[in-house]
Amino acid sequence: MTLVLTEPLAQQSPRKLSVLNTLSGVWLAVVGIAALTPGLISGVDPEVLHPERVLLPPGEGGLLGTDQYGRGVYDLLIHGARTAVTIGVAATALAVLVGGLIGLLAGYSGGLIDAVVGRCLDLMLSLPGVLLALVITAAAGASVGVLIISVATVFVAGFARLMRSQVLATRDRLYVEAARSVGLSHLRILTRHVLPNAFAPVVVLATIAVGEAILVAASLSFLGLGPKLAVPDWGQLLASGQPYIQQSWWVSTFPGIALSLTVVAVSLLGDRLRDQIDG
Amino acid sequence: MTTLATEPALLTLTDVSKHFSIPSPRALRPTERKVLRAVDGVSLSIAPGETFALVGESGSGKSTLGRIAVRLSEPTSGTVTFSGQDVTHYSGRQLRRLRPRMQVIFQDPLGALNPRMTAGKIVAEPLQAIGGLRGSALDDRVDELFRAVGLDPAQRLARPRTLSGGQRQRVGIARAIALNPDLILADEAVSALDVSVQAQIANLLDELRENLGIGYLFIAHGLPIVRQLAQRIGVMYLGRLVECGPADEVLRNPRHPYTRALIGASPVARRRARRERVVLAGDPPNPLSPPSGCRFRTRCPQAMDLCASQPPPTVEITPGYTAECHLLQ
Repeated sequence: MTLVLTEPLAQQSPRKLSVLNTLSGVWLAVVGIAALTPGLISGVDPEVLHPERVLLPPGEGGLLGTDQYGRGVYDLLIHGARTAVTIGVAATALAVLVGGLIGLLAGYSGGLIDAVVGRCLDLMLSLPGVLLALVITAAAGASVGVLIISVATVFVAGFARLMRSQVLATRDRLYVEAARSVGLSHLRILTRHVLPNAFAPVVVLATIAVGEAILVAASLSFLGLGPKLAVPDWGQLLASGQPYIQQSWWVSTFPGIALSLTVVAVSLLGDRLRDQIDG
Repeated sequence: MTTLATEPALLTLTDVSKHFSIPSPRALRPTERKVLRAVDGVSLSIAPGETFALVGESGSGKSTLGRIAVRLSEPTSGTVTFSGQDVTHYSGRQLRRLRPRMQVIFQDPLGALNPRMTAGKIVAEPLQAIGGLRGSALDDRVDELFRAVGLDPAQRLARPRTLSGGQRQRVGIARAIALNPDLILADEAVSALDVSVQAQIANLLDELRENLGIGYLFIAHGLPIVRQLAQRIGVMYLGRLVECGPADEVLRNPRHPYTRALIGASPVARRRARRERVVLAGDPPNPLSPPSGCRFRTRCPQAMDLCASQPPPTVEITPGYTAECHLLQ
């Protein structure tokens, strides 16, 4: 199978695209290492303030300059990656879990349950997601846990909708009827026959959602609704540099670039994954 | 009905109907619905270890009747009796407990197999989930089933996609016989296969019937395969069972004009055996508005005035052999 598939796939994607894919992979690997072991690529403790080195430009103040407290922007980015990645991955996982379960049950049971759940999902999708997350965070207070939950709510309805449509398509497949005619339980039919055949597009969406979740979390942080941590996350860093942007552009610009690159890299990877699953 | 009084029928359908309500195509009157009588008052019975073949054109309701027989669908009216139990309105747990005794072999062997499971897992699943087999007992039984349907146990690891059409259908059959069912619905089980493979699968099914005493409800549109397998034949036309009797009699001396046309339409190997040929004109009528009286009258070469005004009676030709036609009175 793999042997047959490799060639046409290689022809389909031009070299330029695969260079982009490689670059995204490298970037995500760097972000991943920063999130797991920041000490490996930045030996400086970003919690220590240096009042004598405030707002130095890149070069003079280290690779990417220093912020208004004299901390290196590079070190802050590396150490702040963990919050971004944790929230992105955890929020997406939560959204897949909750949304997937809702979609699975609605699609499989059909009838009234499906109709009611479907309308509720429409309602949720009609609200601007970020606004919803904003309200939750504002009401429940800022902590990593609350941020994960509020970001997850932005994506739950989308995953539920996708899962439901996938399950609707899979439910009527002949092998599901065959499983039913054998006399298997609903639970077994769901877990062994419906879910494995409905899951592939959900995985693709989840990949892309990680990038968006990081962005939503950063937006909330930027608005001051993020967790109050000793080490600022990327969104907070972006916000904290805002007053100085006229004179010291580097404090806000580099976190912005890091965010953009991460979101783009994750999207590209998701696209590639989709091509591979469809092909 | 032909079965001896001492031996109860395996499956009896009594006056079974299935009606579907179809929304009217007229957009301005969305509430107006028409009723499609897919199956309309059919009675038949199958003895243990017997092959009952259901033949008819597509759209005649034979698949719908088959699905009712194994309770994949519930009839609108009438009763389904399985091994002396009225199972017409079984649902949920009750139905699930009944299912292992009545299995299905599907027309599309690839579609009926989960693409993400190996052949071995597909056959093992009912044994594991319902039969409660584990470990080496499970392995041995799967191997045994593979051999019983003419598959090499080495193919247990193969995915359905990599198997040939005949092999896929053998996997489907192995799954169907895994729990020692009493009845198997074979819905066009050989139609999708190559002709040479059709004969092999048909032989396999007949062999399993003899060895395991399985009764079949065999749905087909081709008569040659029915000739080879069936002990009894039922002929369906637009939801009605127009003729039903012992296979050799129905094939040798069909009484209903529609059965005659069906037999005339199937190819014959020997030249000498040429029969009178009745050629049917036109398509079957719209099942949403079937003809008045006899449903076959619009295509029947022998239609009379009476056929339009009155539905034909069910005439018993010999015990256990019935046909529905005004000509037989």
